[in-house]
Amino acid sequence: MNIGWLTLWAVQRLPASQRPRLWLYQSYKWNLHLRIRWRDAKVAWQGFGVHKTQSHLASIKLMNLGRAMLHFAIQRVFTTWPTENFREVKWVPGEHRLTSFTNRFARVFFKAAKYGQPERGRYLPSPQTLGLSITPALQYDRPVNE
Amino acid sequence: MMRMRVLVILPHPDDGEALLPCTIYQLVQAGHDVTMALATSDQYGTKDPAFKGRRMERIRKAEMRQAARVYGLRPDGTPKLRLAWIGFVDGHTPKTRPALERIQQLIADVRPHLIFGGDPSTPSTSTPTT
Repeated sequence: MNIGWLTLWAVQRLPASQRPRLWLYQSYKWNLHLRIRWRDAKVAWQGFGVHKTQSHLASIKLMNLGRAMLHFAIQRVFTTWPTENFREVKWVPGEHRLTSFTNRFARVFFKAAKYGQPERGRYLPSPQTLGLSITPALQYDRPVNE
Repeated sequence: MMRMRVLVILPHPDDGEALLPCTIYQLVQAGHDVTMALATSDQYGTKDPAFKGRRMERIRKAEMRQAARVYGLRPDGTPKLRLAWIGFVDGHTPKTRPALERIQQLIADVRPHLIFGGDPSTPSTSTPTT
């Protein structure tokens, strides 16, 4: 979530004439449906299958599956083709502000269900103990200006 | 058709494959210049304490570089998808001015026409502090 806020703020601070379009993924308030081809869906499985260290995290995979099924069910109602959904940020006064999609009741439910909270001990030991810190500079695998 | 510069900002390696793989694939195949920026290297992406930290970082970076090849290869055998490493620590990404300046620097470097970012109003299932 933090990187989502940083991205939004970084784009928001640009002058309007230089501001790129910002499409938000993993949004429940989408206003864009990009149609995908079934034959391209294999890229998802091939690409995700490469991340072998993550295949044993059954809980996360189940949550992702549940979310995917929810998305799929909803998008089948509103569109007739499989899509990946985004929310395009409208930079008009009052529209760019993001408010949580949850109401007070939903917040209580999510809190009780511990939704959105990391499992106990996931981020232990501390980064200092592991010798981790923010790297001094951005790194690119390939130059950006080629 | 105009060749766009596209920037996809993701918290971890594998999020691109989980959240918007077909969109990235279609953009790459259409010839657009796509940069996938990973905020962290998923240093805490395991339950095994022996692997947390630098060891996990090396593994996750290698996996991500392998996954980038799925989206297509250039004639010289390198991935069409450009990877950028923002360099934050998983689970400890700060919402501070220096962190914001890092993202602003990324945008200034890439000069994208289109940015894909995570919706901050959606509750994260696992990593609210990334």
